[in-house]
Amino acid sequence: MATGDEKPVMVVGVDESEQSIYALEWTLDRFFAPYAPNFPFKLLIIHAKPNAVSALGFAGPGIVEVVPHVDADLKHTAAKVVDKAKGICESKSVHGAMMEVFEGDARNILCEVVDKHHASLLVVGSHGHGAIKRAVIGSVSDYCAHHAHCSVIIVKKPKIKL
Amino acid sequence: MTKDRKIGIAMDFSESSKNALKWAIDNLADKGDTLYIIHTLPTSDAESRNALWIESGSPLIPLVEFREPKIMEHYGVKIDIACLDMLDTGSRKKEVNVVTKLYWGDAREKLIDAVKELKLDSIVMGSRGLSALQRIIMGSVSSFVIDHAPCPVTIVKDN
Repeated sequence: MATGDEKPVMVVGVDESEQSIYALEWTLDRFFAPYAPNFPFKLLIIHAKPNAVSALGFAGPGIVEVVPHVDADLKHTAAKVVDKAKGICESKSVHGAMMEVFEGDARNILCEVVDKHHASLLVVGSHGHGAIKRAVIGSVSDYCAHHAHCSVIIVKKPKIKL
Repeated sequence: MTKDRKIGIAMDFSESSKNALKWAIDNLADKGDTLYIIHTLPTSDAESRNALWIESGSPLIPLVEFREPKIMEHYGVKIDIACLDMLDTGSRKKEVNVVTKLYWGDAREKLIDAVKELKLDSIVMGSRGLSALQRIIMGSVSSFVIDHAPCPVTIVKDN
């Protein structure tokens, strides 16, 4: 289906956490910086902005007043994440990366983006939650590892310096 | 600025883990890196001659020995031609070292042990493609490794 020599697509999911930033830097160091300027992959950086209503997690009469504030705050965070990611790419001289922000659940968004762009690789960080947190909050990295239609790299920020 | 990396590959000789090996050789391996093929055997397989290695796994087996059916018979491992071919070609093309380490016990735990003991920079594995319910009932090796490995984990799918 792909015509011509198009580069394989790599999707990197980022949020505002340190682990995400580390994952992006790791990816750029490993797969992009050493090959400049002919990068072996086309880089697509995705941020999933949580939906204001779902982020609040409660319903009730008061919610109408709070939603705009939460929404503004989430938009602000998303803008910061995009800027940070752009900054990291610049600092490693990686140009041509595409960035997109979507609203909704990271799990589904990342898998959909992989399908839409026929990505061959998905990279996500890992918050390193314990077993109970993972059961309650759910793990985006685990979901993506099993449901994305491509290979998945889960990058962990090392706790111990080797 | 690439430093010599240690890349672990979980190998059970299934199609999926051979895919993972191929992916690792094609995409991750660089000149000077070392590929550690990690294979886990059930504890019941451990006869007296292997009892020495139940605790900490076998010594590191270089590729030349891994190719020899007689040597691998001692460990109770049947050699897999496709896997050996991939390792042979890959190691020559990419100029990487290849060693194998065998463990006896539960694959989940031993893979994590391997990462810690061998100080692997990352680990690559296939996925059996179990459904969510199957993963809960049978247990998922990849989920466990994702959860506990102190290094980046790559799950390779067969597309």
